[in-house]
Amino acid sequence: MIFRKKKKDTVQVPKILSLDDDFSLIKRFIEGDESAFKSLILRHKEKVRNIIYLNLNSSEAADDVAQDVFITVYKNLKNFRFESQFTTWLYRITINKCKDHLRKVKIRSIFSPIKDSEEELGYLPNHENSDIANIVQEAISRLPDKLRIPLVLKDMEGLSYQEIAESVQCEIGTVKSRIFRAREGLRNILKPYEQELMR
Amino acid sequence: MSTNRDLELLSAYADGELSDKERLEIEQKLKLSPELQDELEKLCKLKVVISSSSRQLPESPFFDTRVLAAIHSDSGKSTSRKWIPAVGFGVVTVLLMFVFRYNPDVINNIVKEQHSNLAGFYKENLKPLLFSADLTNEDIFNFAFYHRLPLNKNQNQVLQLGYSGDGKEFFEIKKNHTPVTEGNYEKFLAILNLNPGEKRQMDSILESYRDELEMQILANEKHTVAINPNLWNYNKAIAADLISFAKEANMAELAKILPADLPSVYSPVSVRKIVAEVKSVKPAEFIFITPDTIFSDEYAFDKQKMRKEIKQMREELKYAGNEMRRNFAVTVKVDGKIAKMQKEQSKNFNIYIDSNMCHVQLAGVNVPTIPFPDFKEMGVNIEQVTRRLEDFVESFPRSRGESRSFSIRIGPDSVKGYNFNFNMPNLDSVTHFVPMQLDSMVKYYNKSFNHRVDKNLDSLVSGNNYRMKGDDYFWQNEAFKKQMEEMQKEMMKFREEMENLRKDMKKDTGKTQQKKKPVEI
Repeated sequence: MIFRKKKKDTVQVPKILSLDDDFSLIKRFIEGDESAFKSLILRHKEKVRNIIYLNLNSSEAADDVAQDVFITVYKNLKNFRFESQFTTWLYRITINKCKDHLRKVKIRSIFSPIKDSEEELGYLPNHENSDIANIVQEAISRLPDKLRIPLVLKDMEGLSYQEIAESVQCEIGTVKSRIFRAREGLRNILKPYEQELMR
Repeated sequence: MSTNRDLELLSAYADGELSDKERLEIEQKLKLSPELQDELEKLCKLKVVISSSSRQLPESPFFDTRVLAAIHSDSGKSTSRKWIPAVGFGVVTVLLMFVFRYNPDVINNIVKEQHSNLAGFYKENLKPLLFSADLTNEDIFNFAFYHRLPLNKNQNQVLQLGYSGDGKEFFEIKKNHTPVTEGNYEKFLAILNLNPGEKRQMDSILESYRDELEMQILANEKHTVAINPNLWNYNKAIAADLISFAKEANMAELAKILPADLPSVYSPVSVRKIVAEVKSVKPAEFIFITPDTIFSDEYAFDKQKMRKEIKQMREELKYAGNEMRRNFAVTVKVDGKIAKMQKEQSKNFNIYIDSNMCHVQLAGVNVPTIPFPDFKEMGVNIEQVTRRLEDFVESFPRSRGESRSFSIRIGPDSVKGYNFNFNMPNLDSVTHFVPMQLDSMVKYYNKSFNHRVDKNLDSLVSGNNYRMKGDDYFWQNEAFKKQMEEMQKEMMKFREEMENLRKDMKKDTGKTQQKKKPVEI
């Protein structure tokens, strides 16, 4: 089993911009075309919503946080400098919003230690192996934020180490180390289910 | 054996995220290490498990519409709005800094204001309390000489004034106290043997203080009782006035109860000046006894207005009768929350409370000064008068000392005899406060003599005991000291005489060697 390094995405502004490109949409928005922003939302909303959902493990909060992400994007888009991909910037905002949300939840839990049982309810998994998926999701949610976020972005969303590093604003080496530690931690948590999972 | 770095490299290798150099390094190790190969396999399976457990949110078709609506509704709001709370806090902080910088006493002022609000609550609608207690001439007389005023006659609650050992004023509010002997005033009049005209004059003197006294103790429906510290001055002034008048009316009879060296301050002119001074003190600081606390605070009222009010109320009372009187009755609750203050001694008062009594010493509150020489010392003379007066007005005559005579003769034919005139001191306070000492004394007497002095002492104790229940200890310290000194002198005298007797007996037995015969007593 040989793994080749993925071809690194080059960060440069395309010379000819098609209408659907993020950059061209941003330019149109800056020039005053409000509908271009709607197109940006439509292009990225599902990805953003899922990153939030996977990181927060809460479907209820996902739409609210995602809405907050796009409002922030809207307010700051005129200052976008076209030096990196739009998605890198968008995911960075998304991750930051997730962190903000988790912080708020922690503060709230100090004042209301009894958990609302409904808060635990989420979407049911969408495939046959629902039990294993639940167990794994539960195990991931137990990881600390700084390990869980890079792992989710890598193994569930398929982002590269470079993209993750830019999103969570740290070095690639740190991302590599955190993903390794996240997997080690996950294996520990899942030890009782090792036989079942590794079949 | 794989290291942690190898495993970290392996994790990145599985993700395809290694540089060419790192990739070659780990591939070399993989070829040589079955353990690493096994690890890589597990890692790949884990990645699959993780990615396959990934759940997707169902699409949200109106998400963009909602976001845009939120953006547009949000854009209408000024961005500065979210800073309003922070700015508000900032402004408040700066304001507070300025306030504390230029007016550091602001907190103290607030506390004072709260205090005055509370004081204001308790000060509302204060009426003369003694009006409800309906003072008689007997009450005023008892106040002058026994320093006691009734607060609630039905419940037998009284206010007792006094001075502690260090000369500081105290007052007590007592219930179920031992009643003062009745008819003291009548007996006082009888002693003086006054003619009807003089009696009327005496009555009018007492009556003239009635309104004044009624204004010194105020109360309201919130069970607040306010005492004017000037009451202590009134106490002396009334007594001085009575002594002065009695002196003028019948000096010969009064001489029985007056101390021989009564100072000139009791002359009618001086007393008139003193009374005028006491009456002219404007009501200022009162002592408030409330169900929650005891405090002193300023309270001024118009004397004329109050006098009119008293007159009007007295008229109303005539028609309303007992029902209305009952409505005016205020009982000071000394066993409620106020008991908590026993531990938290306030700086103005030292408070001692038991189930029947609230004893308050004035520590930081001053009785108005009467600028008259000898006024302070007048209490001592009044005390002497009271003590002498007791001999006359008490229900039984108070002996100034039990006289005991012993005569001892040695042998039936002996011409030699010893006569002891032993003056037993009055043991009022001793019997009440130090019964143990008395017991030991009785034993001593029994041992030395065959004489049963204890029986007499017992009768002394039982006879005088009731007088000591709480009321007389106004004089306690001084009286006790005097009586003990008196007793000590008598004991010394007795010891000397005994010593002489022993010496004589030894001489006699040595000379004559007579038969031993019991000593006759």
